[in-house]
Amino acid sequence: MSDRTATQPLNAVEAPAGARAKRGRWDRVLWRAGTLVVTGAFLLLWEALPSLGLVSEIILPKFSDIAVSLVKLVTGPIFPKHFQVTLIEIAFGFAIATVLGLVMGIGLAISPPLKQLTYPLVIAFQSIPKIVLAPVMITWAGYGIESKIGLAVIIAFFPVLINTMAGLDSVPTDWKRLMRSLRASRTQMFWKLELPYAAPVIFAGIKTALTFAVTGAIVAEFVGANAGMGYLIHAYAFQLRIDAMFAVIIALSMIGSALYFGIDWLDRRLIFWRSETA
Amino acid sequence: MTSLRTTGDATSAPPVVLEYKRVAKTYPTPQGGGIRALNPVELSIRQGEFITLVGPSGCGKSTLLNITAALIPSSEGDVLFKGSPMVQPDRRVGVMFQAPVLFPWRTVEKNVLLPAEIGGLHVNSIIERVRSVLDLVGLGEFRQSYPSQLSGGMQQRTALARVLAYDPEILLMDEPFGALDEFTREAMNIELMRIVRQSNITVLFVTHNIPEAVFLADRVIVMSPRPGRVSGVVDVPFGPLRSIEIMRDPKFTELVFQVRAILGEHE
Repeated sequence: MSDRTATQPLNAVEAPAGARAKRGRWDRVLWRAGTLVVTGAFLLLWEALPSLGLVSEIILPKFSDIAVSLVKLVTGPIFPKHFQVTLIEIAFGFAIATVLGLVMGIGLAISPPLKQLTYPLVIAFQSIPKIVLAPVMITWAGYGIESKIGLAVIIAFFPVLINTMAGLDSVPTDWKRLMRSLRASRTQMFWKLELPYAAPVIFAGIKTALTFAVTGAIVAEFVGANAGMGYLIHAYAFQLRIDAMFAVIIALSMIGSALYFGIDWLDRRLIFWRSETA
Repeated sequence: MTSLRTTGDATSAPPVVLEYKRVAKTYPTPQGGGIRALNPVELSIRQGEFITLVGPSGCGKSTLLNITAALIPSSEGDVLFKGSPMVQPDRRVGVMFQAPVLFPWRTVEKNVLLPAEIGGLHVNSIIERVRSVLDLVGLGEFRQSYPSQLSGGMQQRTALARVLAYDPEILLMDEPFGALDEFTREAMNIELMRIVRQSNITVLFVTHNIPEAVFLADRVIVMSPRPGRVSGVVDVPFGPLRSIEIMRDPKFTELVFQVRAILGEHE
């Protein structure tokens, strides 16, 4: 999940601090440029394959055609509605999953009997490939956004739950002993040590949950919906409007990236010590 | 089992602050039996004494320290702190571990303020004290730094400040400088000695380094493994404040060998 590790090897080269800072800046510029070149080459290849007739345009439309479709889609009359529906599903699915995962994870971590009693169930549920529950959710909650939120919650909830439990369980003995030697209460132990100690791991789970919530909402839309971007993809696929379909996919990927960068930004602000503990 | 004399005579010596009455530890095993981690210990420690516990892994020295701090219960016997049994951790007893155990989300100053927060003390009432202790351990300029920005030695000094700021009567240290390099460790030991001797703090210091144990201690408690037990006590008559020079003293070398001999007998 860590996109920052990609720049790490650069710093591994030992050099005097000043030179290293200068070199670091240069390295960053070079790597940015490199990233652009790779992305450009990829898009060029995408454009070239159908243009040269190596791949049928029905299978892979030219990137330029997709770009045109994307602009048409985003500026067209139907997009705002579908966009809004999917965004609401993702937002609610993610928020509910996060709260639920946190509450249950904390509950199971601080209460060994509760964990003992429910852990087999948790594991059993986690072993279900959760997208198989999409038809179940549609049957239960219908074609509206409720079933999409439901599936998003089911899929996104587990990484938060598991990471919260794992994070809270990973506090080293000496750290707890320090708190006990200071006569910390159970509440103090939790708020001043366990929760902040677990925060980086918990937040990693929350980041995963965001990506999973997007998947959950879209998959549920595939199975049965009358609105949303997944519904659009499905509809365009049926009509063999492959360029329009790809346009929606790109729009989705942009939404996903924006959300991810947003939460990553939040992560770095809230858990500023992460890179230092790792 | 081991029975030990206390040094000095009762009339002029400082009062006993810690008394071990046949303190022993057995860890239960899943099979229903038990593993003897520590055979009964009888020991009296006087106020201001610097005691080192030395021995190889598994000799029960950390167990003894944790029992003293009431962080783990003894299976038999009591540790008396000023006459009353230690049944739960006491704020007059400061503990330091091998790792500095600094919270990475707190600045140096906030780490040192942690015991105050937990004890419900007002930050204002202790902040001056905290700052002067940070100055004392040479971290005055690093109050607002985060632990990750400090060297290992500075991290342990922060941990030291965190106990010293609250005027402990007893300081329990479990190989506190064990993870530091030799030079830093030596400097830390000398600094520690200066500070605790000035404040008349009673110290129990666990180490597996024999010269270090002799250098710091008024008394070296030598411990042996399988089962963990006290196998001898060596008095170190060099007075409270020492320089690294005493290591050249033939008497020092002899004491080191004395400790080694006790350990060797029990191999």
